[in-house]
Amino acid sequence: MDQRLIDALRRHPEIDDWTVRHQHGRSAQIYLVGTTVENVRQVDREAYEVEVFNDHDLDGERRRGSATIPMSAGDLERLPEVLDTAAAMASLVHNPPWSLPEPGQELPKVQLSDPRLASTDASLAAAREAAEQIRELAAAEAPNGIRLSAAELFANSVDEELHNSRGLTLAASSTHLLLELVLLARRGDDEAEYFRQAEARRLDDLRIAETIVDGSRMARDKLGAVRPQTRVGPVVVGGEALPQLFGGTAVTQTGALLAQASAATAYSKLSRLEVGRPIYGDRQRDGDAVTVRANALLPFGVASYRFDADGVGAQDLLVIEDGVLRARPATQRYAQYLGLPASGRPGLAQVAAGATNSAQLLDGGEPVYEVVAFSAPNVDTLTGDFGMEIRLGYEHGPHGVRPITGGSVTGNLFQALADVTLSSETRIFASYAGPVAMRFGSLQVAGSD
Amino acid sequence: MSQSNGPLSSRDAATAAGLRERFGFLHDVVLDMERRIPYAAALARTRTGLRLNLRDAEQSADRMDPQEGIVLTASNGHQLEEASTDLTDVDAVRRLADDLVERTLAAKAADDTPRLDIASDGAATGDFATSLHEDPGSISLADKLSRFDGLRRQLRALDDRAVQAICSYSEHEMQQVFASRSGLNTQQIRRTNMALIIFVSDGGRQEYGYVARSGSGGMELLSVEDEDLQRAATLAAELLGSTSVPAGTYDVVTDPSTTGTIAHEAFGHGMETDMFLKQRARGAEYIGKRVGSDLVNIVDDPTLPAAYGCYFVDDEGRPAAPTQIIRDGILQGGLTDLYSATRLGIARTSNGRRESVQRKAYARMSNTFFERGEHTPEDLLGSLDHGLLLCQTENGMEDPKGWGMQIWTHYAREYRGGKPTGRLFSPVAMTGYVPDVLADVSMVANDFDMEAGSCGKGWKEIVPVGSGGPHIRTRCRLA
Repeated sequence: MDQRLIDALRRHPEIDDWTVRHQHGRSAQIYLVGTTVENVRQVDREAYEVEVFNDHDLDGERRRGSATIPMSAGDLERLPEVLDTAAAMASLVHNPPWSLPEPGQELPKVQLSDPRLASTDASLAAAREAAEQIRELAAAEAPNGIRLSAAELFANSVDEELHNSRGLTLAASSTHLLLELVLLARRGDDEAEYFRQAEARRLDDLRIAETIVDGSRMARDKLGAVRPQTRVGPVVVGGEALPQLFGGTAVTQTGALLAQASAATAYSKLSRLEVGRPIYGDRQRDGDAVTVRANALLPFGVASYRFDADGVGAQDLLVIEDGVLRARPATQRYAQYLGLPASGRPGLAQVAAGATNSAQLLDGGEPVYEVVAFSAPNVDTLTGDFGMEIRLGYEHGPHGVRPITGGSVTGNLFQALADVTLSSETRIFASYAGPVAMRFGSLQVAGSD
Repeated sequence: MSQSNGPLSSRDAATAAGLRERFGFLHDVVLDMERRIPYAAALARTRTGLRLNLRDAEQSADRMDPQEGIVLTASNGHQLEEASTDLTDVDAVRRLADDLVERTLAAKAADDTPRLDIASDGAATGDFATSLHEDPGSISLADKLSRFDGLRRQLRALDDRAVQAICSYSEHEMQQVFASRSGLNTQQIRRTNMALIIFVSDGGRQEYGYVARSGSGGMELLSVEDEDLQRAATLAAELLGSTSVPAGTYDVVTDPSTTGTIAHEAFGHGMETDMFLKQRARGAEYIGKRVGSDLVNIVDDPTLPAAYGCYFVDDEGRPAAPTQIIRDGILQGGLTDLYSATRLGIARTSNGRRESVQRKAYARMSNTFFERGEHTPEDLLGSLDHGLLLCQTENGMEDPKGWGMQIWTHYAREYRGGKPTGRLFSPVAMTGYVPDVLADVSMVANDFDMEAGSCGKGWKEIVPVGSGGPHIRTRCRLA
């Protein structure tokens, strides 16, 4: 932390409160095209983000303005000018007052780091080793008609500090791994691919060997897969398709369920959910009761953290219990606006297990479509409407099981949850933890007419 | 015209001179590196920008991340190695370059790794800047807040059922310096973006309508008329009565936003030639072959005036130029980055782009669009015996290997006998097999519009792009 910045913020007459977040990030990145190394990269970045607050009166009411100012290294050499601009920006913004977290809160001890990634050199060595492992594992699948198309592996580590004008001083370290893997399957003239983006805090949690074995099987299954029939009926969503349904996207970090439950959405009058009321809209529950937590404490969870951008400690919050909204995930600001306890940025959506074995979800006497991967997550965080192309699935019918691909599954997440059966087995992904499979009683599948 | 390849304004010339003074040493660094290795290049980037978000009872005004830093690229003749830093002083960058050269020389390629012989890159050596008619920097923050909140309040007042109205605005200027053995160039790229959204509720259901403006240029791109606001409010109210579209295959007319997304997803991603190298794109086998009806013409053009994905030089130093992807239904060629063009032995195009200096360059789209046809949009709609007008695409996803496509549109209007029936469907998921969708293009209109977007490679590597075109008529599966 650059003390010049702290001193300048303390001295500035127009800045009534402030928060400084400092991050020092290091990244080792390795890229494979086929089995050839395309690029090996090392990244070092030190970043400051300052949020300044200006309190003022507007039309007889007390108002608090804020401005967030990410800074470059060059900005630190011209702090008076940068902070003057920031204070002027904050003075033009008029929000209801809210206060920053005070010192004294006991922060959770959340495990977030892989000691193998302690330095850039160590991260680079680990990334090279993992890349070699990927090449070897993919080569072992060659007799099954599988080859490696591409892989990218990022090994990142971040040391962060947070200071605010109330005397709060916090620090945390974390590591983060990202694996992007593409496998190709060939049979005759046909080819199909398996694409997976996996994240983890620890290298071992990427489960590279398992991912390649599963991916090889899925790529092979996609060869010869047929388009599903258009119909309304039961759909089992499982595997990688579940985080696509419940997690965020590249644009929205939080999925529709927790976004709709959040205090920020409620404050904007855009939440369709009410505390104490069922989440299913105008539908009556006709399936398992759904219980969902916003869990930011899961050990080595990708969505876990020690403290959020305001300095609020991570929590494991019961949000939905037996289908009824119990609490709203609330960051410091919106907690105060709505008179709620601050729970910090929501972690991952953790859905409680059901009582049905996942194999039983595929039974029931009628043909069932099982989707194990959508092409991309696409759930509207305002309405809960979703429509996603089936990247790979299976039709379970009287004549056995056959793979399907193409076509789409559409519906509304909140209404669909009224008629869901949850598996008893669970699994943890980056943005979702919970049942490995869910059977929705009635969803629209569009495929062959 | 918001691109400037001619003489720079005095302000832009001064900025370019400042960039050359500050980062001119990168050319010497690159030449020093190339004394020991076959190829080196350097890219410096910095950004200034402002983001506003205005809504009922809440406002924010934030600076954008400056993302200041330098990336050095090196090749040992087999692979690339890169180092990225946010330190921009001469000594730190020289130390980084020395370390990178050592690392690059020490990197051992596998025995079967082919040589990577990077040809002279013919990099541009000039100074370039997006021209501005109404410079965002000339308008105070107070005036911007007043202007945009005024529009927001005006929109909100248009319907008693409004529960919220939001205005989001962003402006940013990216300054970039690229140095290679060929010399050094600078560019200043400015983009502005604004969206006004109204949310209405009937007590149970919420819907929204929006007006969006964006492009490469200044505030002159953000003009909004009263009728635009009224259309957004009226649409939001209409959508309260919309239903799900009955699943099936339909004759459709797509609006320019949907047309552009088809171009982007169908033969945009699939023609990024790093996908050829990874054998992920089926299109690689179809160069010179028919992939659509003879009405299909798709282009990627980073020089398209005022479009959001404009630039003058790509992030690997290549001067910007258009690339014809499909002409008269025949697939012409792909969009390349330095590595894939070198490996594949094909001509480079100006499509090597990075999300930031922290990330590598990939082959990426810029502004991708269908070219105009001869009919009016009314001709297309009048031809629908029973079909839908698909409007306001919100996102899309490609599958270049399987040639699947997923597009999510805000709504669709039903037409029967060439007339709107008044029925609206929302939202609408469009899926299809790309060659079928393009083969079924039976009419192309003579209008043209572009939209701004953020494009990822997979689920990351976000870069600004434009996509668009005219209304087109085709056939696809909806649900």
